[in-house]
Amino acid sequence: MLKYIIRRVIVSLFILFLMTVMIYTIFAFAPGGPVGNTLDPNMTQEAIARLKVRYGLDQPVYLRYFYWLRSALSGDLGYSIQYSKPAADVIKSYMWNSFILAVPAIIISNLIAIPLGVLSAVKNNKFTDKMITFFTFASISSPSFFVALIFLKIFAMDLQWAPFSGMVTPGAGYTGFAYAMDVMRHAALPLSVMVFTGIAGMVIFVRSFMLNVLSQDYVRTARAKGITESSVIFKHAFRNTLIPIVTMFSGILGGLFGGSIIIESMFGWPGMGTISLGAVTFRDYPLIMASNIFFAVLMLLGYLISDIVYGLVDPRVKLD
Amino acid sequence: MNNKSQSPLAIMFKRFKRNKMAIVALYILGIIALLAIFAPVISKVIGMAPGDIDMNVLLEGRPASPSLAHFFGTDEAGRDIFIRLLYGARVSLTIGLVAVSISTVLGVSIGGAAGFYGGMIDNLIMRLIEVINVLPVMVLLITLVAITGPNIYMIMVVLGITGWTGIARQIRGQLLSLREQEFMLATKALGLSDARKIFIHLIPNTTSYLIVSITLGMAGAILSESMLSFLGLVSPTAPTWGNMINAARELYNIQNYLWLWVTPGAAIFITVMSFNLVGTGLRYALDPKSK
Repeated sequence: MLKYIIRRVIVSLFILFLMTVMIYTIFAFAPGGPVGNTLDPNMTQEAIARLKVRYGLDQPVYLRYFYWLRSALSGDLGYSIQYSKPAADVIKSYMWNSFILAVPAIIISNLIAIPLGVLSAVKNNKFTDKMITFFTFASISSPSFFVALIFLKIFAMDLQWAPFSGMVTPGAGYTGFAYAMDVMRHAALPLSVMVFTGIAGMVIFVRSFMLNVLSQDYVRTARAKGITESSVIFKHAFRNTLIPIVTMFSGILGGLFGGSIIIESMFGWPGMGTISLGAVTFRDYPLIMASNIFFAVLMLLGYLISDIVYGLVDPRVKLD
Repeated sequence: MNNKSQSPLAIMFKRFKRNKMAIVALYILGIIALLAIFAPVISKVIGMAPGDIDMNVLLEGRPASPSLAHFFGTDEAGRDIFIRLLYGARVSLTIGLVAVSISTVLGVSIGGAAGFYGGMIDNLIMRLIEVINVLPVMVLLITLVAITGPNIYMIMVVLGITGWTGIARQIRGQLLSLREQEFMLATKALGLSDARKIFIHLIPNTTSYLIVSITLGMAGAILSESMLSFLGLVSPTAPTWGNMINAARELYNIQNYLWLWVTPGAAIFITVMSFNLVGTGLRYALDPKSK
């Protein structure tokens, strides 16, 4: 088992290395570097060359990459121009706000999606199944920003159930329980949008896997024994879908964060999505680069966890 | 009795016809495509160009609500929403088509090479696909567009380059089993070149899978494009549906002028949903296990 985990970690690190190379290359060829005529049109060629030497820009790209990698490994991801702080510090202070939104979103979507998927499979081709399938199609076909606007209009403006922007009521100065309640009230809308647009994949997945299990011989045997239908479904069939569900569960971690970029920024939620988009409009390259790395690591971490969980729960997976 | 055997494509379309929801979606797509193609004609018949300004509305200073003169109302500048939607369909469908064409060509060539040669090449390509699949695509898209500046052509290329892995995987899987079949032995006996084997004898056998991938790919590309447009990352002057919503995103507009953002939003939703329904309908029609 340990050997398997170590091998997966090494593979993930290698993929991470490739990803940083890709991301670094994109930025290395971005127009408008830190040194150039844009800074001061009167600058002489010698002055530019001197500055380039000073910032190491005279070196070839691959060498610069390794310099960057060395400092990145020691936790230095560059200096954010917009915040006048190290990019790593900016990320550290905003990432938890994203988790406050993303983790409940994952849990709630699954709590809704798994029963829906099972129900849809059990009622295969009946009216209920068709309704659920239609709903999943609507969910995957809705642009998240459009759903966000509809929710804003209905729940924040017309019904006034929830505030439409931010994470805390400005100037209220809540502490303790009142603070938590305030954050929850602000999270309600972005969370609903994330659940609505993120639920479909899981429903489709659970449905198709459950359908597959329901057509197996051992399910027919269980039915032939004459046990109740609910016990066939929950004791014999559903338990067998748990393994792929568990692996899906961790796999969506990164995807959910990526999808939350627009939603966060639309609801003014001070998380990674909002600061990444802000960095793009501000052309704060070090921060964009750092947040790219952050999302990539998260994505890889999700896959790594799901691989390891898969190896742990499924004895059929070869561990060496 | 007609003993002529049917091609896999014909069987697929026969089974597809039984799926009512998918057929309705196909008709909707047909109507959208016709509206997009004949947008200039329609705008001439109505007597309004996409940039035309209704002076009465402009002087009034606020968007006109839907009426006989303007089916879906106008925006603040007095431009007709219906006409802009038609021209938006042209842009969105074109971006989708070009992006999907790029990813199909890439996917077929790369997946074809992997499936045909197998071994080391296959291994390398599959690892590459794994790396691309864990990339945070949306973040990267935003980054790329931020660096290159808002540009429609850039969006097409970027969506195309990031979207080929699914098709490549499909083609590879198909070729791995196809290349073991007897007709491939015949091509070997004839001494055909590898390129001829792949593109003339193997890929045509995967046409039905390609049609499914292309249809579902269109849905994905249009959805991504609308998101990037909404973020203002596609050329702001192009009348894309996402841009129209972006222009109306002020809270006051969202509260009071529903037609400004609900109509383009509904257009995106209906188009993407139709592509998804048709694509999935085709996939089920293709699956021998489904009834």
